[in-house]
Formats: sequence, C-alpha cells, structure tokens
Amino acid sequence: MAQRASRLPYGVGHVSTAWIVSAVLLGVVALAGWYGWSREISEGMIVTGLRNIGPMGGATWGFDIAFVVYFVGVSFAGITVAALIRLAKLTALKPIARMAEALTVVALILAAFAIMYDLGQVWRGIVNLFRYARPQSPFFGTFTLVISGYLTASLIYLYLDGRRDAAICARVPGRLQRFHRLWAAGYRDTPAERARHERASFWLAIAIVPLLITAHSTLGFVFGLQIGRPGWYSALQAPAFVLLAGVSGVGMLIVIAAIVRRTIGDHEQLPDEVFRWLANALLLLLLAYLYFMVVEILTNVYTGAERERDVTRELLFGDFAPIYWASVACFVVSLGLLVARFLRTGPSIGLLVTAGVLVNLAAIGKRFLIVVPSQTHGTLLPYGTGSYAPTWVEYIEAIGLLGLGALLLIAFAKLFPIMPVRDGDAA
Amino acid sequence: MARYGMVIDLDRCTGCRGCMESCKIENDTPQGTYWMYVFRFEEGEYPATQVRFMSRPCQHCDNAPCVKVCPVGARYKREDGLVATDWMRCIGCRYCEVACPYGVNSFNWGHTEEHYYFDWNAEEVAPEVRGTIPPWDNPSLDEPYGPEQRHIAGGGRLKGVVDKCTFCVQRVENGLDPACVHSCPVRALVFGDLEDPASAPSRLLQSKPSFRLLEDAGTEPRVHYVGGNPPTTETRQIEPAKAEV
Amino acid sequence: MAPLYQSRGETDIYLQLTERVGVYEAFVHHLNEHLELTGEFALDPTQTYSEREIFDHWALQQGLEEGIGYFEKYGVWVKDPLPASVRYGYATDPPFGGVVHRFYGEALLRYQEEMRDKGAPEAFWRDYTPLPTWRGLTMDASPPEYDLYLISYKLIEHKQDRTAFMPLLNELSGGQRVDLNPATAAARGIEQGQMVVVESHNAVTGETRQARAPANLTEAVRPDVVAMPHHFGLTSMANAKDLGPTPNALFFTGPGYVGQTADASFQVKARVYAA
Repeated sequence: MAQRASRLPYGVGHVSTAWIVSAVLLGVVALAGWYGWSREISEGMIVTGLRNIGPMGGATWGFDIAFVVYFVGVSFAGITVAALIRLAKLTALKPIARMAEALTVVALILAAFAIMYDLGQVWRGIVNLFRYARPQSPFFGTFTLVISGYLTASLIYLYLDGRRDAAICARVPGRLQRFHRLWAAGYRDTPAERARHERASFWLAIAIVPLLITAHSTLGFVFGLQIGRPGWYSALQAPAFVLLAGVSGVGMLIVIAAIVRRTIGDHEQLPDEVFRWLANALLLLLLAYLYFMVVEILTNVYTGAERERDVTRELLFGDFAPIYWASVACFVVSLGLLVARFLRTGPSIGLLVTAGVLVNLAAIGKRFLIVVPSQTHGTLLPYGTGSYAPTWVEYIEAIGLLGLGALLLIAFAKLFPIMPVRDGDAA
Repeated sequence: MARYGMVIDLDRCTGCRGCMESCKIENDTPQGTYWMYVFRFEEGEYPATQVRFMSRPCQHCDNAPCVKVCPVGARYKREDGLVATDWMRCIGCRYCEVACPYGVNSFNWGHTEEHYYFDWNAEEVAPEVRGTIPPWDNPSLDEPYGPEQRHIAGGGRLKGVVDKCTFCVQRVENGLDPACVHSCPVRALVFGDLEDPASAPSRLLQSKPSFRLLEDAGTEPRVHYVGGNPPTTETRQIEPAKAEV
Repeated sequence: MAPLYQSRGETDIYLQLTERVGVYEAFVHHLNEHLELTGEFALDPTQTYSEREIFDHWALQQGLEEGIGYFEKYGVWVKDPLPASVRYGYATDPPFGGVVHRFYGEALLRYQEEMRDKGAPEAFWRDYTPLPTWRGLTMDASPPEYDLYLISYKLIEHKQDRTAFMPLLNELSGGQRVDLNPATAAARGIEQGQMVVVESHNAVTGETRQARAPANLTEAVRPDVVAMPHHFGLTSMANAKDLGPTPNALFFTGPGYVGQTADASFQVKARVYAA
C-alpha cells in the first residue's frame, strides 16, 4: 500500500500563474467564438460568406464544414492510439494513452459545436436528428456513429481506463478528492480487479476500432457519394478521409505530448522512444495519404470529365492554387522533417513538433479544398464560376473552437493526471 | 394515381423569364432566390454565335440525390412524383443543396421578411398599407398539403431552412397548373400526368425527340426537354439573373 | 352593360370626383353646354344624376320620346343622309373650297431650293429631297478613332424606361451595360464587367458625348458594333436611378443625323475606352 500522499501527480489540482493566464486567454478566445455564433443565431447564416450554389454563385458549405471534418479527423488518432496500445500491447506507449483519449473527446466536442454552427435551425436540428434520423443519409453516420457512438465509446474508455489512477489520486486529500473518488467508483487495486479492468479495456478497444473506421468512412461518404459534385464523387474519399484523419490526429498528439513533456518535465514517462514511435506512425500515414493525393491528382490531370478537370485546374493553377500548394508544401516539409530525423542522432523533438503542426495546418487547408472548390467551380449546369470567402464570423468561430479545445485540454490536465500514475508518484 | 411531370419545348422558349417572376409571385420567394431559373446561353464565336434559352425548374427526380441525403427526411418523394420539402422539419443542414446536380435549392440565409424588395413595415409605408397582409405573404402557403399533410408549400417561410420548386403543390392539388406553366406566353411549359399517354405533356413528348438534363447522373428527372439540345461544355451562361441577398 | 363587380363607369367616377373636389356645379354647366341641354332637359347643378340619367336627358333633348330607352331598344338612331358636300371635297364647287394641294415631295424640293438660294449651310437642306436620294453617310466623316457603330436595343424585360423602377424586372438582367465583342474588347484591354466609356461623335458639329457603364462581353455582337439597351436613365425614381445612363443621349438629332422631315435618322459612330 503506497504511503499516504499529500500531492497529486503531474500538477493536478495546482494552478500556476502561467496556467491561469493561459486559461483566461483561451477562455476569452472561446467566448469570442460563441459571440460569433450568437450573431449567426440572431441574424441568420447571412453573416457568413456562404451563399447558394447555382444562380447565386456561392458555396453553401465552407469554412465551418471544413472544421467539422478536421475535428472529427483529429479525433481519430486519440482513441486509435489508445486502442492500439491495448491491443498490440505497446506498453512503452502507455504514457500517451490518456492524452490521446482526452484529445479524442475534446476534438469530438469541438466537432459537435462546429456542426451546430452550421445548422440553419440549431435547436430543431438537435431535436429532429433524434426524432427523425434517416440511416440512408451519410449524415446519419456522422451524427450517430461519430458524434454519439464514437464519443460515448471514447468517454467510456477514458473513464474505465482512468479508474485506477483515480483511485490513486483519491487518496490525496483536497478539493478534487471527491471527484476522483467518484471516478474511481470503488476501484481496488487487487490483481482480480486489475485483470477485469484489462479485459474490459481490451474488448472496448476491439469494439472501438471498427467503429472508428466506419465513422471516418461515413464522413468520407458524405462527400464521396455525391454524383452532383465533381471533385467529390470518388471512391477514394472514404479511405483518404481515414488516412488524413490519422495524419492530423497523430500530428496533434505529437504536439500535445511534447507540450506535456516540456511542462511536466518527465522524461522518464515520455522518453524519446515514444516520440520515435509517433513519428514513425505519422510518417507511414503521411506517405499513405500522399499516395492517395498523387493518385487522385494524376487521374484528374491525365483525363477526366470536363467538370472534374475544371475543379482540378482551379486547385492547381487557379483561385485555390495558393491554398493547395501551401498545403502540399506543409506536407512535403513535414515529410522531410520526419525523414531527417533518421539522419540525426537524438529524437529531434523540435522537428517532430514542427511536422505535427505543419500537417495539421495542411489538413485544415486540405479539408477546405475538399469542401469548397467543387461548389464554386463544380456546377454541372453552366452557371459560371462562383466565389466564397469566409467572413469574420466564420474565422472567429473556428479560432474560438481551437481555443476552447486547448482550454478543455489544459483544464483536464489540472483535474486528472494526464499520464498514468505510477506507484509512488503521488508523493 | 397521377404521376406528374413537365415537358419543356425549347423551340418555343424565348428566354423572357416570365416564368421566373410568376413563380416568385406565386410562391413568395425572397430576393436572390429563383426556384424556376431560365438560362440564357451563348455558344460559339462570332459569326457562328448561337443564343438559346433553357428554363430549369426543379427536376423532381425519381432517384433524387437530395431525398437520399436528407438526414431528417424533410425532403421526400411523393407518390404523385413531386419532391417536396417540409419546412417544419428541415434543420437547415443544406446537404440537399450540395447533393443536387442541378443547383435548384435555395437556403434562407437571413430573416426572410427583410429580403422582399420592399419593406412593408417601413414607417413611410405603414400608413398606406394599414396592416394588410404583404403581397409576399400568401397565407395559403402556410397550410399543410398532400396525403401526408406536411408543410411543403411556399418559399421564404423561415430563416434557416432550404426550399425549392414545389411544382406549385398548392395549385396542383387544386387542379391547376403550376404558375410558370400558366403564365408562359408561348406555352413552352407543359405540365401533367406523364403516365397518361393522352395528357398534353405525354403527347408533346411523343411528337419530338427529347432529352433530360444530366441523364448520366442517374437521377431520373421528371422534367423532359423537346425541341433543342442539352447544354454542352462549350455552353456559356450570359445575362445571369441578379441573385444576391 | 353595367360595370362588373366593384368597377364603375368613367362618368360615374368623374361625377363623384367633381363633387369631392368641389367643382360639381361647373361640371354640370359644362355638360349642359356640350350636350346642348336646354330648358327642361338641362341638368340641375343642385341634383345628382346617374350616367344613364344624363344620357337620357340628352336623348330627350334630341327629340326622342323614349329617351335613352330608344337606344337600348334599337341600338342605332338612323337620321337623314348627309349631303355629299359635307364629307367629300370634290363635291363642293370649287373642289376642296379652292385649296390647292402640292405633292409632298414637290414641297420639299421647293424648300430645299429656297434654303440653298438664301445661303443656308448645306447640312441643313441636303436631306430635303423629293425622292430618296443616296448620299455619303454623315457618320463616315467622323475621325477614324470612332471605329464602332453604336446601336441601342430593347431588352425583353423592360418597356422604354417606364419599367426600370421595378425590382422584379431589374433582377432579371441587371442594369445598363455596354455590349462588346470579346475580340473588340481584348484589343482595347477591356475585361468583362470593367467600367467603360462609350463616346459618340457628331461629324457635323464635332460634339462628343459620353456614357459610362460596365462592359459586357458577348459573341452575339458584331466586332465592329457597340450596343446598349435603352431602358435606363430614369433618374427620377429611387429604384431606377442607379441603374446606369441612357444611350439615347449618345445619338444626335441635329442636321445630318435626322432627316428634317423627321422620317429618316442616321447612325453615329462611337469609340469605347476603359473608364
């Protein structure tokens, strides 16, 4: 039995000035995002830059939907890593499991907000989605499998996985003790309990992985099944979505792990090996994704229906070329950084973090490029080219969500150990 | 049971766009929204330039992509062939709008009563109109229609929902033709029961070669065109109608 | 027939209007004068009459016993035939009361010769020709930089400028524009939607006039032609005043451009440049 501890591990329950300042700043950013949303609710979506496809020459899905897809994509990595650690018994990676789970939950919350931002009738949307949901619609998969199913499964996994650490933390008196006790729910660190815990997590992990593939594929289907949108209609969308989700998620995980290592200073729990593993995973996923990108572009450039060629032309040389090439550059540079790691001694955490940030920026750009050009430049009837530019409302909503996500993560880190607690950690 | 459809005779269409405005007046669509749209096309280079016109209502497809993707079933296919939108159920996700290959959907971006060409409630106007119903607020469009008794008529009913051509369901259910058909000065639009070989549209369809728009998309539209050719990749739109909110 | 539903006959409306405005008495006096109603059949300004009653008075005044009922029964009142001399010029003596007619063309020739003899500038009398006579086009005398023929045309949406204030028509084709062939526009460095100035030139007086509107490139216009719809320039109405200028002012109506008999008008040449 461990000694009676007097401090919670990893800074849980203690807020430094730096943390408070960060939290306040992030809180302000999150509130700004909700202010933008309030404008949208009161005046209608006319405050965005979105407009009707067709005679109005606009894009009806834009910045916001790009972020829905991006956030759902980021949520991929979290729970996948956690599940893989379970299933493949990658014990060296256990330290990042919890932050991965937290990332998933936070990203899905952000995705849920982003979807709500994009509904013309928000409250009716929430009610009617439960009352009338149609499985034939790809959106059904997004709302149910992803947001409801995936989020619920992730929350359950996070909860179950954390019980042991909650029990340890519950021994420490303090304001959080009751919360930790609630979480622990009577967990006793006996071998039998531990075995049961391992089994439950294992099976949950096995259940989550197919759910995960289905959920991301459904999101890909939202776009890939639409014959009316050149550039969307493709069998490659579903797998490409899964891969880019992995890329952005693992990249984000690298960034979070690096931040945790820097702030908590625990090189023992987060050794270079962890980062190497993540970097390898990112490299593989990135290569696979780039393969899909190359296949898609080559196919469309070689030949294609006129409308597909129009959209591709806009991406490569036209209105969207700056965003396209910037995203490609980010991917290529990240690739270079991930490969360069092999040429250096040491873990090159800085390179990895840069790569992680770059692939996420590129993912946001790529999501935007999936959503918009097929609407403004991809009408099958000759309406002519349209245009779309986000307004301040859309920018502030996106930035607000990013701020909210960061806030939720740092708040979580203060309520619960961000890494598994070792015996004797709580000292 | 009648299965409605429309046949459009492009040999007759003069591109006058009267159908666009009569649709607007009948269905109370706000500024920037055109349920019926008429293309004015130009093809070729001078001196081999051709100008032609094509009116494009909602195609009321039998295999409608918009019906398939609606997450709440607000967009549905009726037995009489009409594809309808229940504006009481629509959540404004606009999936039908991105799914439609023809671009016939309109989303109500703002408070619709502010986008009707003329502010009925403005101070200078109020004493003249004295609390009468504005001309764009036809109360019969608020009624439910069809055997399902759903709210499917009229445009601009609510901020934040999508609407589109209804084949003037409020007229069709009372035995009238849609407004565009009724007002076409050259009778280019013919509406009726396509299953009945003796109906006006069926007879027109039998009399000349016909085509449907975007047949390759597999949407099976219920609007047929005779007397012309579909737009090609060389076809350009000229004189687009002003569509801004 | 009686007016239907809530519509009313003209006269009925006038009667009520004059009453509202306070000129009923004068109106009745006017009616009496023009319908030649006298004595017992004259209308009394202190009484109100229906339209039928007024015509009844007139019919009685004319001597028909049944009053207006005569027309309701027979439709037409046939009177004695008119003598030919009232209606037919040749029946009088001398014919047409002695007025001498000239051929229209003969008159033109006489005017032309008189103006020439009096020393008026040729531009003023050269089109007074009795028979159609070819001459070189006025517009060809404009300097060569005015290289485009200017025409105006009608849009299907509008009638003159009287419909220009209607937003439901304006949205169908937008406001004023200058239609140019794309090759013509490219040669002048003009792009679709760019503001341009159309400048016409009067070859007789040297005057130039400008109109400014966005360019619209279309293959349906000849490369040597610039065209503008003529429905705009209604500056008096709020909905219409920002739609652009009328092209009418670009056409000249002076000597050389309009036949003095107002039955011929001649083209102007113009040039287009970026605004």
